[in-house]
Amino acid sequence: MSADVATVIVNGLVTGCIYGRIGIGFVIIFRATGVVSFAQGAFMVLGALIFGSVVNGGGDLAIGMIAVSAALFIGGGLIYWLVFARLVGSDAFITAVATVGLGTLIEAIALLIWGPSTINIPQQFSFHRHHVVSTLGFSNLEIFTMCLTVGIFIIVLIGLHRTPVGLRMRAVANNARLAAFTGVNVVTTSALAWAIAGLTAGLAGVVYLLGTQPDPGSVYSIGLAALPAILLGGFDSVPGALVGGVLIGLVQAAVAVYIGGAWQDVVAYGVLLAILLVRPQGLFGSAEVARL
Amino acid sequence: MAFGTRRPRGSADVVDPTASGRAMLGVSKLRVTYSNGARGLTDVSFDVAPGEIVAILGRNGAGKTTTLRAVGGFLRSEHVSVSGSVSLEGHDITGSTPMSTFRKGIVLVPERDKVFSALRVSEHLQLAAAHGWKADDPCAFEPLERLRNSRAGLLSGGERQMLALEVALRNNPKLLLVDEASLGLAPVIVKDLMNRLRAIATDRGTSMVVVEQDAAAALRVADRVYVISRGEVVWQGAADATSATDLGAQYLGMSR
Amino acid sequence: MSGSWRHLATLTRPNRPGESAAVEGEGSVAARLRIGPSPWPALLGVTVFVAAVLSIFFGGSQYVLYEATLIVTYGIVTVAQDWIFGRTGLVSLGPAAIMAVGAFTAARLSTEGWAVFPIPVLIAFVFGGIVGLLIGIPGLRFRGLYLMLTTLALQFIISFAAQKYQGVNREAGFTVIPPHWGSLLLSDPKPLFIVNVVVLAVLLLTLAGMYRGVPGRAWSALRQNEAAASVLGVNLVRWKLMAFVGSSAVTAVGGALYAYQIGQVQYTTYSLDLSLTLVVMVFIGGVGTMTGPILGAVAIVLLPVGLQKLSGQFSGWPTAANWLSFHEALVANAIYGLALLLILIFERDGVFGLLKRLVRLGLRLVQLVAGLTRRRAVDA
Repeated sequence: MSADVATVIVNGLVTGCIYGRIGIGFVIIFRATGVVSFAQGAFMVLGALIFGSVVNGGGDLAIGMIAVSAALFIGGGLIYWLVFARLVGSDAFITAVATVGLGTLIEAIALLIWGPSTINIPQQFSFHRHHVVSTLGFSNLEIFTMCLTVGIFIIVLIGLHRTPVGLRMRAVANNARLAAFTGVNVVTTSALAWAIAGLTAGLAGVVYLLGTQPDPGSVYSIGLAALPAILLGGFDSVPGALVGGVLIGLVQAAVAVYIGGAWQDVVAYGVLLAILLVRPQGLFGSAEVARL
Repeated sequence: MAFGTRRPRGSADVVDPTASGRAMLGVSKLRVTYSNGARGLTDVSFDVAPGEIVAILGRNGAGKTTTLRAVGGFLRSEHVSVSGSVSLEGHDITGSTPMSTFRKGIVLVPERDKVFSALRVSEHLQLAAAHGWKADDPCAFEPLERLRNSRAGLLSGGERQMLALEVALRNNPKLLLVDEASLGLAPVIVKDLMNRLRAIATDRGTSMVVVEQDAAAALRVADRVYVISRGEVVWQGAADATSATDLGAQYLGMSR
Repeated sequence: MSGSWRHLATLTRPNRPGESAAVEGEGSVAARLRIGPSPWPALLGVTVFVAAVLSIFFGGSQYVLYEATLIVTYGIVTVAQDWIFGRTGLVSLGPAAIMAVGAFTAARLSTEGWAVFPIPVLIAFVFGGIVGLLIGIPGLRFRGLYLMLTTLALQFIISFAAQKYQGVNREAGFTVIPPHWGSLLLSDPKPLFIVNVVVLAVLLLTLAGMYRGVPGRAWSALRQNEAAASVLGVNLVRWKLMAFVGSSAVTAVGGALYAYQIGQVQYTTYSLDLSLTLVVMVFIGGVGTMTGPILGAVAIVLLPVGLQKLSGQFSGWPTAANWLSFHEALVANAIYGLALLLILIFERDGVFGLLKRLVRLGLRLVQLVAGLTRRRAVDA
């Protein structure tokens, strides 16, 4: 296997995992509350910054992740309760614009508190690569990322399909009005969806931070870059978010290696246009999302 | 155009339910107006005794669904104003939220979208598992038993209606509000459905308000009937003393 | 179907975008018999507009003229955006990219001798219309979310194309040779201001006329319930395309005017950030109203200025003042985000709505006082 192909595979999978983690929150929010959230990037930024502060203050990886998870879980639910619970019934563009405003607000406050410089943390993982084949090797961090992502997906899917809470969430996602008629507390269930989305996005930010030393601005823009991946998977499909993420990640990695880094985003959005024209519901989306 | 109470031709006296004990549901002078000027209800009053089935009939747009929504507390928005009073077992519940009317024992089965298309029948029963009901308990509507694994979206219209009612009944409601159960169903199925409702009302003492466009089907099982036209009650009477033909010709604009 | 035709005719007042479609039932008789909305608000608006223009033109400093021109240019673009999503209900997240089309056209043509003003602007108008047509074709299929994504993708792609174009032709960005009309140099503050004002005025008059007539009712019906509108015979294709082409053409003109003002065209300016800012501008000002978008432009251009003045006030607390002026851009962003959320939750008509409430409050106070004095006169 050539070194190039190996790079593509490794980078593609890791980026794909990050996209998947942004996507899973997005899909959950979309299904449960019908909101298209452009604010996932802002949650990522918060996750990365909080993690940076905790780790630089002496905490280790685990404590950092727990702190981020807790903070964003509560934050996500709070945000739903404060903002989107009051926008129920508004049409999709309004709520999407609201998420833009929310993202702007969160990013501005985060930058005011933490400053715009790159986030520096002590190395958490060694650079040692475990080699599968001669040129194809994964570092500890990359393995950690992929396992964490798969773990999150498995937990969420089990939660959705095997727990009463998940059942209520799927009911609300299917038909919120009817759920209200059958006595499901729609507000609490929706807030939970946002809490989970905040958590997964925050952890995605952490993982991104672990791999690079980004500045908050570039973390935010990844939130948008995940949209083609989400659409490819299907806007209302949780497993689709991971599949779409990995596929787009691989495509972008290939473009970076063979054409040029600057073309990555454009190609991804070109793919998005193609999907919209050919198969809007993506790979795993249901029929209901074929025409939005 | 208020007709008030009219004696149907050659009938017995109209039965007054409140005389024989406390009403389960009392609705008095209900008035609903929409902020964009659309007509809601102008003056609706009716009551339901315990274990009684009351049918509310009328044409499209007369205000039947609005009445049910007002009772269930689903008309809470700044575009709507509701006045009048609604009381359950003597306690005033006007202006309550849907959650609180639900907890007090009022369950509404809506006219469209009555089931979760993506969830299986067994999952519906799981959602309704409470009040002593377990998902595995046998269904009051037996045809659902062999459909437990099917997704609700794939069920026929009659099966969906039965599922919706099954889920509603598992909440042990004191008052069941059924909106246009017969919509889109074949007459044979409607008849079966209505008979089952009658049996449940008798066995469990559940009061029911059944809103229907299919007057004949409703009259077959109801105890009393109200006819709403243009937002107000224009007829009330005992069901067995009322004939669908009379109502049809006079108020429902049907030529049956 | 006579009832439905009557219903369509009562849709003279644009619903708030975001309000669910009108409930079943006809408007009251009184509403239907009313001849039209009262002329006073429009007269007031025109008076204020003319007064503002005149006072800025004759009394304003260079700086004031500059900011005012910026506001008017943004106003042109935001009014066009309100046309497409406020009135017609079609989503667009790519206005900056369309502005880029206009701006690059103006910049590139400024070096051509034959392209005297206003030819570049007209060509920008045409190019903008073509882009609008390109968006409109998938726009016929999609409406909400997927249209949003399409326009988002176009924003990125056009931005990228602009980047490549600039990289090939002129690394540091295009310089715009100032256009002139006869001997009048149009990059001078006063002439540029007037040109912008004229364009905005023509735009507002044209749109006001269209909104009041058949196009307005068609767009309103389209926005509230597309399926019902098509059943009622509204030609969806025609009206959707008109909205796309028209608003994109106008947006491109706005981009060209912006290029004339800044004097330099860089692809980085016309990013997604600018697109989102423009959309936010419309909402903050009051979406679905005529003056709302302009108020939004005023708010976004003047807020940083206001913050600077504010940090000047804090001269007693030097650290606070320093912090504020250093972080002014971020504080402004935070305020925009917060304002947008508050407006979406509490007052959909935005700043315009707030002003209306103030006016109504003022009128009621006046009535109260008048009533009191009248009563006192009677008692006396």
